[in-house]
Formats: sequence, C-alpha cells, structure tokens
Amino acid sequence: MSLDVFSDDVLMTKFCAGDAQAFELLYARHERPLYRYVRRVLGTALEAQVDEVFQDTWMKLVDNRANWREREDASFKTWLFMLAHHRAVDVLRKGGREVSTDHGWQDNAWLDDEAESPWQLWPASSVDEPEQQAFWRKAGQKLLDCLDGLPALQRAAFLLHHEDGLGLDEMTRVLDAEFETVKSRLRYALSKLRACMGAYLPPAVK
Amino acid sequence: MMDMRDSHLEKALQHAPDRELQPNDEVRRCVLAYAARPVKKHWLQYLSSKLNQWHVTPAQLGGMSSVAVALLVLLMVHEQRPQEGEWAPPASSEQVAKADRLRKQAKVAESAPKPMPARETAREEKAALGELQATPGEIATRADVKSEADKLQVEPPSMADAAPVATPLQESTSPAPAAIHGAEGEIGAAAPMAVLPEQRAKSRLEPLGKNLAMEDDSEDSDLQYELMTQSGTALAERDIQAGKLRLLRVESPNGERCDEPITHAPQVDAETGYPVEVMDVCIVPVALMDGVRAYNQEMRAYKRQANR
Repeated sequence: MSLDVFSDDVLMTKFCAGDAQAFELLYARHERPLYRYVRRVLGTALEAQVDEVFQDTWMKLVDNRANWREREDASFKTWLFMLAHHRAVDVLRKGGREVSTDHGWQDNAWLDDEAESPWQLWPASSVDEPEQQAFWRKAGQKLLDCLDGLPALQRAAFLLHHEDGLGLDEMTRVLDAEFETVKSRLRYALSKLRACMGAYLPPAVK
Repeated sequence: MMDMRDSHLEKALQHAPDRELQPNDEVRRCVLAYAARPVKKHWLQYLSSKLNQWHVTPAQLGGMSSVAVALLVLLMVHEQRPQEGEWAPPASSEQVAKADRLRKQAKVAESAPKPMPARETAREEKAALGELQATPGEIATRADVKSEADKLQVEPPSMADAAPVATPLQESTSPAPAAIHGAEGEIGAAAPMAVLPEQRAKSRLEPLGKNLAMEDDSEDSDLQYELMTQSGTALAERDIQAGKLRLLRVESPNGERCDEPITHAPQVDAETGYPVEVMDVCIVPVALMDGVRAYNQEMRAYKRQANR
C-alpha cells in the first residue's frame, strides 16, 4: 500500500514509529511551500539565511518527534510552520529587523512611490492567455516587493492565510498570538498590500 | 472558519516568480539523512517505555522507588566505618586471641639480640591491628596500662575479673621493645571497660604519644605527656622544689634516624649552667613546644631570682 494515501498526521505518526519513508514523503509534500514561506518571511535582506532556517526547521521537527501527538485541533502542517516561524523570527531579531510592531495605516510612506494610476495595468478580459499570464507574473513580482515592505508579523499572517491556506485559528498557534491580534495583523497587511499593488488590482478591490 | 482571503492577491501570489524555488540538493540530502538516523532514546524515555510495557502503575513505581532508596541507605550504613569518638563494642574472643598472638610475637622480639625493632615494624604491627582499633579515643597509653596493671594487682579479685584481659598487661611493666606498644594498645582497645574513667581523657592523646616517643624510655615519654597535658610552669616549679634543676630541648630527627635511639652528649645551658635534657620527637606537637617553652622560662626565672 502506497504511503501517498495517508494524511500528513498519519505519516508523521509512522515516522515517529521509525518509518523513514514516511518522513521522505512528508518532506516532499512540504518542501517547496515551507521554503517559500521562510524565504518570504525573511525577505530579501536575509535571503542568505533561508537555507539555514529551512534546514533547522526540519531538524527541529526530527529532534522533537517524540513530542508529536495526533490531535484534532493542530495538524502536522500547523506544527511545521510554527517551528519555521519561530526560527525565522529568531533570525529576524538577530538581524535587527523589525518583527513585533503592528504598525498602523499611517506609517506607509513607501506607498507614495506608486506612480502608476489605478487600473492602468489591469488586463482587459479580451486579451489572450499569454498576455494574462504576463500580467499576473508582474503582479506576483509586485506583490513580493510589497510584502518586503511589510512588518514581518503582518507578512507572516498574510502568507499563512493566502499561500499556505491556514485558517485564523491555526494561525493563532503558528504565530503564538491571540485571535484578534492575528486578525488585526492580517487586516493591516491586506490594506497595505492593496494600496501597494495599485494598478495591479481591479477597481472593485481597491 | 473565518476567511479573510483576497482572491486577487492570492492569484498574484500564485504567479509570483519565486513559485518554483526550492532548497538546493545539499540541504535536502542533509535533512533526509538527519531524519534517517537511528533514534537514541534518553534513558528516562527508555525506562518509561519499559514500565509502560510492564503495565506498572504510579503506585507500584513509588513502592519500588522506596525499596530502592531503603536498600541504598542500608548499603551506605553497612559500608560506613566506625568514626573516632564513637562507642566500640567489647572485643570478641577472636580479637582477644589476635591480641595474644601479637603479644607473643612481641615476646619473641624482646628475646632477640636486636636492642629494639625498627619503628616501621611497630607501625606495621599497628596497621595489622587496625581492625581491632575500634575506638582510638579509648586506647590507653603505655603508662596508663602500667598504672592500670598496678591497680589491678592491689584491687580485689572481682575487679580483676571484670577486666580479664588486664592480666597480661602486667607484662608491660618491664621495659619492652617498641613492638609491644602495638599489642598493649590493642589489649587496651580490646577491653575498653578496663580503662578507668580518668584515664580516658589522657588516652585521647595516645595517638600523639605514640608518635612522640622515639626511644622506649618511659620517663621521657611521661615527661612529654605531662608537658602536653599540664602547665609547663607548674612542672618546672615541681622540679625546682624537688631540686631537679634543668632545661629541656626538643629535637626532631629526620628520616631513618627517627627510628633509631639517639644518645646525646651531656649539654649545659650557658646562661643558667643547668644541664639540658634533649627529647627526640619524630612529630613535634604544638602543645609539647608550648609546655617546654613555659618550663624553660620558669627555670630561667628561678635562676635569675636565685642570682639576686
């Protein structure tokens, strides 16, 4: 019977029982999402430490496998991203990066650099597929640039919710914060990113 | 579940150029190799898993722990040797027999042509008797043993019966080789009830006294003992009244000479004109030096007073 049919939690339990193949499958499933998350949370300034944080996260998971218990309220993915987030925050703090502030709306002076007018780049529905793809690739790059300007915790909240699909409840565990705090960080992040994206978002979203 | 996703931002994120990035192969190999290592269980985890296998309840675990602690304490108590000053049980018949055997060996040594066995031999004898030395504080000095033996001679037979091992001690009244010290000491230790109460205080200095006496001269040893236990001034006054005018000097020969008897040439103190008696002591206690100093001061003071 192939291991592919098992959930992450079952695979982790198998790994704790000594099944190395279960871990390989877990790693394959989460390698890229976790790597992206670490890379984006650390930002371009700490890009050189992405590999280190990523590797440390997995090693910590391996070291703490004895603590793993299948639970209804916390999945393997939540645990994995929590370990990664804690490690990333450690590196951010050591690197002197801003981590803990939940800035208000007013301090977004960097948004003023946006020169393009709204809707200017938004593709018309009539354009062909390659052009649409090109637009979204540019939008993706713009979003990464905008993310780089966010405080780390707001960035983490946005990424966990949009990229990794975690709900707010799970995010409270990963970010080790109250529900309202997480919600607030996410709201701030969305507002700033929408403003930053400018011409790459349709008028209705703006 | 509350959802705050922005579909447009989500779509932009899905098209971000870093989408296909992944860690390099070296990192992947390192992580997978790390995970494939055999698990080294902590000993507590191992114990816990074993206990779980045996279905041991916490109450049973507590009971086993108590037994283990009790065994440990018993073992420690059993291994503990008696300390100085502690009560020692009366000697067993085996111990008395061993003491007799040593005394016989001492007799043989006495009849030998050698004037005195080496002190080292005496120490070895003492070491051999170490197991018998239950309470060093109860060991009587040779002088004590002598006086004890004298007393037993004049006291009613019942007293002698109370200390049956005291009879052989009478042999020690004659000048004995140093090897006998050990046997005598052990006889005293083997029958602590035979030691009189007033002698117990004196006997506490016995270990020192044994080191003090270089020559087997009982008078010299007694003087050393008195100098340590009594006022040197009082001893000098006693000697002055008895007309015994002298000064004392302590010498501590080193090495091999410590085991040999030393004959000193007669010495006279230049200041007082009194003869100087030399006491050879291997290990010089502070109490003896203080006693000698006070003794000599008193003698010199007497001389100065007499000159006036």
